[in-house]
Amino acid sequence: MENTLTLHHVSASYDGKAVLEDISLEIPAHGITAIIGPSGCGKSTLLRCMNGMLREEKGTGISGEILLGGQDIQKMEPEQLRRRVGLVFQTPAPFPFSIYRNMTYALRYYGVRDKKELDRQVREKLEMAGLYEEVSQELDKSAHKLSGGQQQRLCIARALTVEPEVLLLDEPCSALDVKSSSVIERMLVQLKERYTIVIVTHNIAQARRISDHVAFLFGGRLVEFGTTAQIFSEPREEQTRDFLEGIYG
Amino acid sequence: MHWKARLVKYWAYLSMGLVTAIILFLFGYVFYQGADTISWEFLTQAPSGAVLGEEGGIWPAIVGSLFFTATAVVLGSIPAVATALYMVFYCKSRRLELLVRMVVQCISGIPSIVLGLFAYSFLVRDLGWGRCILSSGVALAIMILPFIEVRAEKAFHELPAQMVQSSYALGCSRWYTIRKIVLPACKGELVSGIILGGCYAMGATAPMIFTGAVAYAKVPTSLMQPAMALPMHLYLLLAQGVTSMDTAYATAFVMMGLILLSNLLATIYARRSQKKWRIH
Repeated sequence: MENTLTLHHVSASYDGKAVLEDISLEIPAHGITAIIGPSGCGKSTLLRCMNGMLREEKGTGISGEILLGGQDIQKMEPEQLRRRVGLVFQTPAPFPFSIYRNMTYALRYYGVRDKKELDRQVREKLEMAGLYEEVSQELDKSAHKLSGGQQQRLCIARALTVEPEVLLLDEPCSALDVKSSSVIERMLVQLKERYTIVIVTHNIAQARRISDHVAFLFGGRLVEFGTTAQIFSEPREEQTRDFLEGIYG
Repeated sequence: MHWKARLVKYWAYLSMGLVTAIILFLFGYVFYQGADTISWEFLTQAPSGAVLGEEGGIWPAIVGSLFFTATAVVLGSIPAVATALYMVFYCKSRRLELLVRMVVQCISGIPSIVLGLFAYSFLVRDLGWGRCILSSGVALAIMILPFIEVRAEKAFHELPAQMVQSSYALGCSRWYTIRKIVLPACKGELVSGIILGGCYAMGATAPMIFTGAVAYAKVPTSLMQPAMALPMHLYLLLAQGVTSMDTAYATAFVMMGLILLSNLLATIYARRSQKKWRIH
């Protein structure tokens, strides 16, 4: 299947300490895959493996193979890989520019100079993130003046400007209130038509509401992977059941 | 409050008061002693008199000092900022990072007279540059390099990591990220660090004694000429004894005034630029 991330026996370590062990996983295209698990189980590390961000950090080691559309990501240029696999962080991190410049930052890097094209892209992506109506009159305003929820949607819209195939989200709602979270959840469900989405979340209810597939990680290992319905109604592993029932987490 | 805690508190207040008082007294004393000699002529004329500097002014020394400082700042800050960028954004090996840090620390530990000796024997003598502003500039640049590097590295480290990573996550290169995000965001601190480094260089005497600063020279027109410098001039005036004490104080007045002014400008610039790039 195209556009799909496939992980073969992926292990990762920080300063020689294993964080992920032997993870094999196939992320289906055009759906939302949620990665759940207790704190410190390696969810975010797994996400950072997928766009090669982990390789950049000091003292990290990765082994195994990750394929993007059949192509080994180790052999791809990091910039090329990240253009195809976007990542949105836990706390919204808009650049300290205007909303408009945040949106055109990457486009300019890729050589888009035509004002009309920039305007069109900014509008399209802000609309996809459900932010356009709220900010259309104040695109020149500093992005830092937006509310937390708006900032996070701006970051998602910004990630979409480079037209990634896969969008990774690292607990995108954990710093937001319930209302902002639900706006983002609705947006993600709409976006999956166009993008393959992987979301790390500590919120089990959120995973249940929006995802199509769920991967449950525990202690750096993949315990179980299946459709959301299967994982929540009849988990095969006892650890998964315990986690979902709130015995630990 | 527990008596120990109270004691520590009083001790802290007392120390702060004492340090402030000493500094104010020092500045006040120099300014008081030097103020009478300061005049328009003193600032704009060349030194003269039977014993040099007894009469006349310090204009060539002011310009010379600015030349030395500017050369040191240009030669020192470029590798310093580049090293800091490498340490924070490019270096992936902890060992190499440690090694570079050790080297930078070693440089900051070199006594400045040794830098002068090195510049004299290598640049002035072996390379045949002769005594000139450039030779001294190199020695001063090596001296202020660690000073600027440490400040630049600190500024880069304090940027929110997620902001920098967000740029990488969009597929943008490191250089683009540095150019568009890192340098503009750290501009205030970088410029103020560089200016403070310049102040440090302006006040240093040892690295320039044998390499470029001379007792008397006209206002320099090229980097390959020797020049007068304020700290060197001050040193010579002091060495000459009682007859030139007044001009010595006045020279110190001007030098400290220049350094204070630069410090002030650096602080104001850093504050203003931080306000513009408020990052949370």
